[in-house]
Amino acid sequence: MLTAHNISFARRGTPILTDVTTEVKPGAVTALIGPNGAGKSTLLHILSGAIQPDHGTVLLNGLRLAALPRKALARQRAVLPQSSTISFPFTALQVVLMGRGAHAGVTTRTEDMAIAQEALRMTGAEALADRPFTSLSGGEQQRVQLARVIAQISGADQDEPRFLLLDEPTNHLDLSHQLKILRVARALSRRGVGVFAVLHDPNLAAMFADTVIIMTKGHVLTQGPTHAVLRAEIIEEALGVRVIVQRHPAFDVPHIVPVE
Amino acid sequence: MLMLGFLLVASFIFSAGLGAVQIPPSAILSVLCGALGLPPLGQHTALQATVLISIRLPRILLGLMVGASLSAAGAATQGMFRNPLADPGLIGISSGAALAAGLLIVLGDRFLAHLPSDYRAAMLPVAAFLGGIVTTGIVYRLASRDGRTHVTTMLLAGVALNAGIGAALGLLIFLSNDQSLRDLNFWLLGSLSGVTWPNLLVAAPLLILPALLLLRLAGPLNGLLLGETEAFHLGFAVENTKRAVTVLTALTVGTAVALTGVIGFVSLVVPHIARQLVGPDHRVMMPAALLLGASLLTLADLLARTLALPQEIPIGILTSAVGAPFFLIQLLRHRAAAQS
Amino acid sequence: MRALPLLSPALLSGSMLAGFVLTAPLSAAQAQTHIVSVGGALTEIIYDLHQEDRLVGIDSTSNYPDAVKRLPDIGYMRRLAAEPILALNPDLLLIEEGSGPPAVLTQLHATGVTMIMIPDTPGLPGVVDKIHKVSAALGQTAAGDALAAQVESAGQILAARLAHVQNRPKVLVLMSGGKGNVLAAGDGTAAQAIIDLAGGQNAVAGFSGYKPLTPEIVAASAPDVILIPDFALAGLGGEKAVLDLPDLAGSPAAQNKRVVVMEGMLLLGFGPRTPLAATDLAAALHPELHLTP
Repeated sequence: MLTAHNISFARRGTPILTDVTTEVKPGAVTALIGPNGAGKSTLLHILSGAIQPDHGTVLLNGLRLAALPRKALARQRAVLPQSSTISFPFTALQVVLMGRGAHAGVTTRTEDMAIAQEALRMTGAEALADRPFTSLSGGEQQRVQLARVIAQISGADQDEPRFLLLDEPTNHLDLSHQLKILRVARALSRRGVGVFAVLHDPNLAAMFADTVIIMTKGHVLTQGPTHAVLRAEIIEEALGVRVIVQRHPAFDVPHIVPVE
Repeated sequence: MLMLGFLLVASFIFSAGLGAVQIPPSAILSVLCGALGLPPLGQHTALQATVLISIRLPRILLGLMVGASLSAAGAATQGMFRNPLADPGLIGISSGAALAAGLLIVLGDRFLAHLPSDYRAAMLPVAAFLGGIVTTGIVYRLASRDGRTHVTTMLLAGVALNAGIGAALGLLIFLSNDQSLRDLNFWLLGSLSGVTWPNLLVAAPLLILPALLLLRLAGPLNGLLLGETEAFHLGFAVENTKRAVTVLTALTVGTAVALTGVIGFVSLVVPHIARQLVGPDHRVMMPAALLLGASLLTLADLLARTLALPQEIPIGILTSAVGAPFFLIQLLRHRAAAQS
Repeated sequence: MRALPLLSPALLSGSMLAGFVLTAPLSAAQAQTHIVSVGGALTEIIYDLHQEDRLVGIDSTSNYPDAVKRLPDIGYMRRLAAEPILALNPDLLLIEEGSGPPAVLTQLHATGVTMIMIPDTPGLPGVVDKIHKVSAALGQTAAGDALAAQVESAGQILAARLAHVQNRPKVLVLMSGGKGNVLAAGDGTAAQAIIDLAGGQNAVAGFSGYKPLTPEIVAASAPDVILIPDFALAGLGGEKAVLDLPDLAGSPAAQNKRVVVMEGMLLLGFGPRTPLAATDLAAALHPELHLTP
């Protein structure tokens, strides 16, 4: 379990997060949605340990995140950035292998290689393994990066649940790639990983999340099971847009349609 | 990597054998055996022994160490800045060292005239070394806030400081007399000549230890290439790595400049070649760059001291003459790749 | 200057260099037959002492007499390299003050080859001193005394001829110029010393060494004669170009077309030929004396 308790954070006197308490369960996808400036990315960085909150604590599997050794932390949680640039001609496979840095000396090179190949296969990027990362399209790069973070938290060298944090992972991607990325994330959650994703599109949250958190202005507006949270009046309050929530024509999930 | 080791040995043998005094490989072995107290293996003249032991050997060793040091520092700096066109010169090490040396050369005549000239001469490498460290410290401080270092700010601070130092050096050139101008020029163009064993023995640990310690940072430097936040998420000590790269680079490059003056383009170009030979993974690329830099600088010095006999060409002129076009070609390729 | 000693052992060798002038083993000097001479004046003295057969190498400032050109040249005295010198297998290095870089001298000294540093002070006493030191190093003190006496008496003859001269023409020495400001010679330079010997006065004063001057100072100096070493003439664009320089056009020198060009090493080298150089220059500065050099 990855939990945040009474988190507050301010930047140069401006409060960004106020008294946020939430949790990410292993084996489930938790989506965080909200308007721009709600503090979504900041919460993700606090959950990842990259930012220290002013008040409150983050616990990873019951231990204080801030007190965990860097490498132990890296073996239990990985973060997929929105996008990343590499100005050196690494191959896709080399990029994925970088995910194994925190396991150096724990797993063997052969094991690392097998894990990297498996991660590339999971994200459908095995054909890209030997291509230079810089020559890949945006969608292909994001799949390779996803394989890298999967490789980071893979392996049998520990028992505790692991967590994958996705920071608006589908930005700038075409629809097909958006769905691919989130499908892999959900598949990962079915293997016990706790997935936390900051998303812009409430419909993607509706399709892939088990739990949804809605934030506005640094507060948690509401959080709970997807069906319970994605209701018209809540979305209208959070996003400031009039919507109708229907049943998705193909799946048993809510479908949000703006009506203004 | 085996090839690079072979290149290193070959450049050592060539450099030891060729010069104003020719020393065939058998005589080299013979002299070396004699120096180690073993029975001589073959024939050599006293002149060959003197030249090899007191002049050429320390010079070759200095070339090997400075080449290795500059190349390892260059590779680490490019990794830290996530920019294949970065260079330790960018963060002010070389120019800071040159400025300190220049100040001592030009103003020392006026304000330190009461000190014996030998003493002032001995202060020169020390001043250069401190100048490099201080400049890097200033750049680092300017770029740090809340315990984090902003790499872009560091680059910009380096550029600004380099420009200021350029102006200060111009002022020094204006102020200097005939003799100090000559000394200053030598410093700015770089040369391996004039090294003696005592110099070399003092400098060796300061050149080589930081370079070898930089190799140990290869893993975190790989991580840094993904971005600082990503490197943190991967479990690397980002701030410690950046601090260590800066300090170690300042140490090794500061020492190199103190001994040889500014030898341009080695730290920029050698990591490039190494990357093309063995790929960008720092764990392989950095040792390759270290070996390659040692070989190439030794060979460059061989050319510097034999091309224009009986004179020597300042080695900085040679490395820049080769390095600048190479760098431009890389730049154009970079642009072409970015456009495609 | 870069690779200078960091520590005291090497420092020590630096100060030993200076001490060497005094401690050179003169008795053994007779045997030395592989001499490298660094400094044009020293080479001239060796020739005047008829010891040229013992020379195996010279520097690039050694260009007199013509016969020196058969000897291997080890390069410019201020930019020496150790190996080309050692390649000549010398047993004695005669080195004029101002040679370098110091690190190379330290390095040469460390090889154990005998080095004798000869001071270089512009002026006739300096020349006499050089002659004594070189002849002592070569074990030719008697010949040296004779040569020194010759130089001194030539100097005295010229001084006597100039003793009654009232006017001391103002001489401006141009070392280089071209596009930038002209480089003039100030106090303490060899140029200043030779002008003094020849009965002139330096047109510009109040600074030491060679300095680029602003055109206005050059104009204000109003030289009577412009003196140019031959090596600087091409850079200045020839005699006519010098006279046409805006800062010199109005000067007495330009109006009377008084430009003197002299061989650089003869003029500034301060060797045995210095009385000759001074007489040549004096003849040009004081045509009324009808000096015959």
